[in-house]
Amino acid sequence: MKLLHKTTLYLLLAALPISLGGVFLLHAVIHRYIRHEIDELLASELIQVKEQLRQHPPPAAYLPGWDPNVQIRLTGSPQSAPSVYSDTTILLPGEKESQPIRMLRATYALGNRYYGITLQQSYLEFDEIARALSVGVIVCFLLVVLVLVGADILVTRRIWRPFYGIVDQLQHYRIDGPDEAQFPVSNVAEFTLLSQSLDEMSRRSRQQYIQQKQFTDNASHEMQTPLSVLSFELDLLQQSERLDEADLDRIQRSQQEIRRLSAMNQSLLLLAKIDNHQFAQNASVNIGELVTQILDNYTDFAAHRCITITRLIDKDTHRLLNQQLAEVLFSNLIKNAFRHGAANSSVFVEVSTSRFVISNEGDPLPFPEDQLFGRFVRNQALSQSTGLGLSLVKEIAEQYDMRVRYSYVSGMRRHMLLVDF
Amino acid sequence: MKILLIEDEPALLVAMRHYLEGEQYNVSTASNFRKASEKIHDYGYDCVIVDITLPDGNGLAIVNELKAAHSQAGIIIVSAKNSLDDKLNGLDLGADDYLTKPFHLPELNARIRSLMRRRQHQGETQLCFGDITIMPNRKHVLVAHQPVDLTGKEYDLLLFLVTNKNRLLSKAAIVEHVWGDYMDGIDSHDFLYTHVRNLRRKLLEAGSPDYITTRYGAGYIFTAGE
Repeated sequence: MKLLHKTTLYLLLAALPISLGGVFLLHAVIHRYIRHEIDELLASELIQVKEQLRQHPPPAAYLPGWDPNVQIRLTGSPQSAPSVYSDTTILLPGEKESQPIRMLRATYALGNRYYGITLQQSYLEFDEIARALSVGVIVCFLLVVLVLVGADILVTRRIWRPFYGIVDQLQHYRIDGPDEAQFPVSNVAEFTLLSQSLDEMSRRSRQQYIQQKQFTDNASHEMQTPLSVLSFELDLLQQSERLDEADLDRIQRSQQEIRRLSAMNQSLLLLAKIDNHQFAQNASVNIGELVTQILDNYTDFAAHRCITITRLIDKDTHRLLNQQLAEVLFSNLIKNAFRHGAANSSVFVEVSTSRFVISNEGDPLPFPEDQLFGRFVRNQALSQSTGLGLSLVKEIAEQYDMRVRYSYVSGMRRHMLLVDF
Repeated sequence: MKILLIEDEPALLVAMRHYLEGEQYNVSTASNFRKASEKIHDYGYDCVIVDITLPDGNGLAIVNELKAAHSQAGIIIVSAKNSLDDKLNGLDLGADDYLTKPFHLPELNARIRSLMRRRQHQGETQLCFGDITIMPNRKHVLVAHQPVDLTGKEYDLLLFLVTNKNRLLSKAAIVEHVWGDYMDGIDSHDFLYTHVRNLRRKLLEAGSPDYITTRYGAGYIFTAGE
């Protein structure tokens, strides 16, 4: 739910009980005020009646018709009760429903005669006024609420504009992009503070990113250079006429170790780079084509070892990946299958829109299955392995939310590796 | 053939120079960007081998300068970074080839020769060794004027051996050249032996003398004298 909707909802929720309570309160106040006014009216009328009775005391027989609005009768006993106001209803002639009225009863002693006076005043007109007033007030109140909500929406939109500007910047921000992020400044102090903090944060992380990138690049250079020197020197030494077979063998093995060290160095740097998210540029990679290309490189080796390759490749399988990482991922898995595949067996490869599968025949793993993707876990029998190939596979797959699974079918003695796209 | 080697690491520079001079190239060297820039402006080279990481500049800028001066020199970038971006950038700028350290010196030689063949002669070029004639443009091999039917990999193998004739070539260097990076870490001992045996058999059947000498445990030498 948007902040705007939320505030509007709360505003309306608060307005509802207030307006309901307000209606009752208003009605009660107006009613009370009107009753007070009617009471004053009745009181002044009573004084007038008393005055008329005193000046022109009518004979008892004329009393009922003496004043049509006033009922006066003679009471025998001198009830000196005080004036009593009361609410009641009467059925007026010509009306179907009984109407609420205000009634005043009083006793007036004039000489030895006692008059019981009853005065009535209908609430009718006053109630209509009260109703009209209430309706008017409610309408005004609703209008005010409406205007408030509308103003809230407009103002909120305006006020939050810089916020959305900042969010937009954040969404388009790339740590490896060519430009530093510039977050918009606004006249709202909170947003300016947010902008400044983000500026500061992005600048710091960008600096760290550049430092990391430089470090990995330099580490690569600094380590590959001495390895190159060693390799070159051995290349030159190998040309010497004076070496015997054992010497040449030593040179070969040294070269092999240099290659392994170099591969390990590159794999570790690649892992570091993946951890640092230095491979941001993705493109749609045709996995079917890529896998076919890599497999073709192994046909000679497979033929040499009498390994048949069974392919089930959908050539139109695309996925958004970094080209270099995709190559590392699939070539490591394929190389693995050929390196560990037994002679005179088969390697099965499947590429479909949902997954990549490769399986090869071979002895069970010499280490626990759950260590397969760990760094430096390798089959000690293979001297040239770096133990990093499958770690890279896992790391790359995780980077792109793909799942890598391993299983060993002991009945068929087959290792199977699956990548779910 | 004049080659300019641009490399800041003295040990690498000396080793490469030594090897290339042994291959009858005329080698000049530069150990930093400034000297390299001066040399490419003052002299003409057939081939420039440039390291990307230099203490006072980027090797890619040398490629730019060469292209700006409309130099005809072939350019091979050498880098310690196995970075696809660098490789694509370098090739985009007009470099002809890209080598990642560490590499085998015969590989560098093969790359230079291949580049020179592509650049210098527009017409048919021939590579002769004894009775063997190789026509790289058409990937044809003749022994005593008769064509020999070689597979693609056998042809690559022969070309690599002939290019680095009279040198002991390690099996690793050969496999890396012919099959690329894919074979690293794979035990390729018997594998290469099979291919060399097939190549040798085909050449012998065509009437060529046996130029391939096996150095047990080490590799092969392509040589006329024995």
